[in-house]
Amino acid sequence: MIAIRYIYILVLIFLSTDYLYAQNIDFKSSNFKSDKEGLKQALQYIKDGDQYLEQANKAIFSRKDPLDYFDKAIYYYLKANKFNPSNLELNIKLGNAYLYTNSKYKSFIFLDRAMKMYVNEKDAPVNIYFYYSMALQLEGRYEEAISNFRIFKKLQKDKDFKPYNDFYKKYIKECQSAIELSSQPKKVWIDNIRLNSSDDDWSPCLTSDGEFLIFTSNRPNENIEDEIGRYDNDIYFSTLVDRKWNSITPISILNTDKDDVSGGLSYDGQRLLIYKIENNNADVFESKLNGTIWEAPERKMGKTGNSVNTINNETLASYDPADIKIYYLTDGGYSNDWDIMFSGIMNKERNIWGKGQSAGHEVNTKYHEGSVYMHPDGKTMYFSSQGHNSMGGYDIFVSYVDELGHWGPAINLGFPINSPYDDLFYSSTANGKYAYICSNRNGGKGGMDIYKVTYLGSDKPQSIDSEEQLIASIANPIKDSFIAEPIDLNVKNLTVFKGRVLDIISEDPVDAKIVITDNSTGKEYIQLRSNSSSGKFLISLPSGKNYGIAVSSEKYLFHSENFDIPKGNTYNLIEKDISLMYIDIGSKIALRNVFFDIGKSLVKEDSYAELDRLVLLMNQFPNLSVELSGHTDNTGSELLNNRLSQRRAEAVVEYLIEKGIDKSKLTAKGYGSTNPIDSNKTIDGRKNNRRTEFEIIGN
Amino acid sequence: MKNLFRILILFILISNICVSQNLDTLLENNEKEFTDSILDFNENQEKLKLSRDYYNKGVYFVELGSYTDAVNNFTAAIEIDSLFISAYFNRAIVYSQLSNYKNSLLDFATVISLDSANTLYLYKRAEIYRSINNDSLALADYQLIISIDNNHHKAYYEMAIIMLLQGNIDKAMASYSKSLELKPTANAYNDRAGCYRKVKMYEEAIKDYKAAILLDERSIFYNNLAAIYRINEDFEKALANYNLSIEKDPEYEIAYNNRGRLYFEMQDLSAAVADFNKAIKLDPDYAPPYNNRGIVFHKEKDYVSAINDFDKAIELDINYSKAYLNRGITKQMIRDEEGACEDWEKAYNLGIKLVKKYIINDCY
Repeated sequence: MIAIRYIYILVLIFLSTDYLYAQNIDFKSSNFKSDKEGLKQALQYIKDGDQYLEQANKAIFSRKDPLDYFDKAIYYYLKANKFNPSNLELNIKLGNAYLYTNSKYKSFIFLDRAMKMYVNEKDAPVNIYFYYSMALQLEGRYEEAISNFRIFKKLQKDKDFKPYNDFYKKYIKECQSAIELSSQPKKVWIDNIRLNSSDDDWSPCLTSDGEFLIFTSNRPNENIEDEIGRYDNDIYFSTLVDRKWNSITPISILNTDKDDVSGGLSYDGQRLLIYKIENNNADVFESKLNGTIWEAPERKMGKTGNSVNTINNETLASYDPADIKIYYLTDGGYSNDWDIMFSGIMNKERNIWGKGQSAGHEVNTKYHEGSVYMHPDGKTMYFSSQGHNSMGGYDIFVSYVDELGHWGPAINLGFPINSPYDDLFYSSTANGKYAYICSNRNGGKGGMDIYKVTYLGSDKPQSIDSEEQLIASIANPIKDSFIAEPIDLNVKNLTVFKGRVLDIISEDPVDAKIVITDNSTGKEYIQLRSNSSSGKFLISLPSGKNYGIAVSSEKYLFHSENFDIPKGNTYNLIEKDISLMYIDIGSKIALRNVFFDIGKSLVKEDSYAELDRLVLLMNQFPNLSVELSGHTDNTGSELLNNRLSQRRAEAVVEYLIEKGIDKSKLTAKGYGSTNPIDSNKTIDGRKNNRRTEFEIIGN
Repeated sequence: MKNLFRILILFILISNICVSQNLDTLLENNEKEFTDSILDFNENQEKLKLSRDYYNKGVYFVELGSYTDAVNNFTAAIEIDSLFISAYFNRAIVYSQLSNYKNSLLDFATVISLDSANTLYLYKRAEIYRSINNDSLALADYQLIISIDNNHHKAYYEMAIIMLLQGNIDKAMASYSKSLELKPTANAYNDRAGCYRKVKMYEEAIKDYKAAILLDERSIFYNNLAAIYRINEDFEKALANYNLSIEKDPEYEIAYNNRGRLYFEMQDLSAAVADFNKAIKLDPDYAPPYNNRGIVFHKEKDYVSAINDFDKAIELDINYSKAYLNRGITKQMIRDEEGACEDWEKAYNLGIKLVKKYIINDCY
């Protein structure tokens, strides 16, 4: 009997709740006779919210940034909604506002409630169909969204529909794209990472080895929250330990009481592009890691107000791997909204940058582009955009550069990397196996969250087995040896080269300049510095080439060697520690990038870079007296080896003299094969033995 | 010739002179020798009988399966009659039954030294060589047999098997063809069909399997023929032949497993699982149907059951490379990435080179 009574009560509660939400209750005194003060306050909240909502919607229709007006509108509307949750108009407004925030999944709750509050289609406010359709799109109910968009169009008068027309077409196209993209999901895992908070966590910037992450968050900090209880954005970092992001540390020197936002991290994690707002204008700044300390940010790409740092806003930026360009986002694009531009350095020392140029019509659209990330391969750009074939909101796209330097068609990264929500940013490891993105999709920890994308690699068919007794007289059946071939996916062709520069004696870390030269062209590929605190360096290099590496640091003998990165379609990792020798009499160093033709003593052109560094060293330390020595392997006659090594040593000395080095400081000596440093029994050993060396003989 | 005649006359004359000188003594001696020879003969006959008795006892023990006793008796026979070829031969066979190949081969060496023209001895020794995986010596014996008897179809057949196992398909095919030319047998047709299959000459393979079936409707031939149809994606004929294979031998677990695979490829997953289940029921220690059922479970996203089946397949066959490969793929789906990589490493070490791509792309 008691149980039946409980069931009655539950049914009543259920019915009354449904009834409550199914009836529109106006904010009229007749409905709130007992709480007129509350009603008055609620009406004020609505009025306050309306001001923000109106401005926000206006910005949306004119394709401007609605800033935080929607959030502010929600802040006030929620207070009014608490007083009366059953007002049709207020529910629509809340649904409308939430659609444009990082909590857009909440819009459906209010709009669905509003949809249940009227009896006939004609009784409903017309715009509810528009917003309800958008909410359905977010819910992944694309077919229903399309039909509701069409109802909206049918119910609207032509004049009133006009401002919506472009959005109407776009959203229907988005739903159609979403249907298509969802039907062919990508083989990835999408994981919400443990660093996320209930606030916005976004703009992840990863080193190319995937072990260091910088991101931005407006989680509570020591600054004062704004009028709606939100904190400013600060920059944080975390390091991967045992495959987990554990600690979260703010980078204090970069953080102010205003928004500080990470943009792009150099692939070795030694430099960071951020943007800062000064005098209501955002510009790109750069901070360098000096040991364990990030230096105070300096304006990147020249002074403010120039051809790059214009009077418009320049915000999120990414390093070009070759380090001669910066790609950045600006609201001063050709279509006068957020576009991706790039600028190249004209004069490094004077910090002069070329005029910003568009990343091209295949990338930029008439809608907003939201983030840009240059992959370490230098040929791939990941960016987000509201345009192209987005599933809704921002989607992440990829574009590949052609031989002429033009960026090709934008390719949607597909579902579930993209969703009908806002999906932005992309920062990946050099091998492309992992990437970090941001999304305000439903199911996160709140606001914008960072997600880890793990690519499952090639399509892996399983191998079924059968057996046949191919040899009748042998009892054992023979297994089918066929194995289904894996289907290859696009794999990046990069090698991560990382290590430390250390003092050869003390093994203390050395802050050194590292120059990588592409030996096939003789051109410098990139320059970087090892971290002064850890000696660590990291760089991504295209595979299939021979490189020269020259490491130099003040008061140390520079180190050079050349190495091959074999061509392959797979991820390589080369880890190497480089030891530098403090300059002292008797110090010797092999010049690995000095080349001669076989049996000849003419210095080849691709040796000049190495010898020029020697010239620089001699100029830096004019008291140095050095012996340049030539060494051969033990193949061939001793007499010839002695002569050849002597002539080669002399050729190097001649080059140095030509470059202005005092003759009296240079001695040439050919040792033939008498001083091997490796075995002459192996190819590699003989290669090591054929060398040019210099020894400090006076200082 | 004249000289020879003179010598003979001289010899007779001299003999006569001797006989006349010691005739009495000679008569006595001759009688003794005669008596002795009779005694010797009788004694030898006794020994021979004893040797044959041991030999027969040895044969009797072989029939009883009492190989050690058989060896002892053959040895006793040989000790009495060191030229007793059959005793050596039988002892060699019994030694091989006892896996004492060293002694077996020693006996075969004696047998063949005593009678090098007997192809049976060479044929049997070749079998021993194959038992100890010394295919090159076996091949040499078969070649010796053929040099003695060019119509020895069995030697051609066995030689072909070795060549096939060595991957020398062309030579194997030629040898099978020669064997078939001398005497068509179902086994030789089946095996040659296997060669054709290996070189993707599927029409010729089908002809040979059909010829084998005409001679002997064994389930394995239907099973093998079905496999060719499956490879040719002629699923209807493949199914009909697997059905016939099972009809001929309802206990033939291999045909159930293979028909299950066919059903899988025909997208009939429930029929596939039913056949894999049947194969497992018939032989719970037969690994392939576990592997295959695991694949069906994986396809149905029942990853736990899939892994259980791959586990079982690996438990039954620790070197089952495909099962490692498949389990790795399933483990990846349940986010056990380390486990997946371990399995792929194992599959790679067991010879599946393609899996290196997974290891490189997904494990670092």
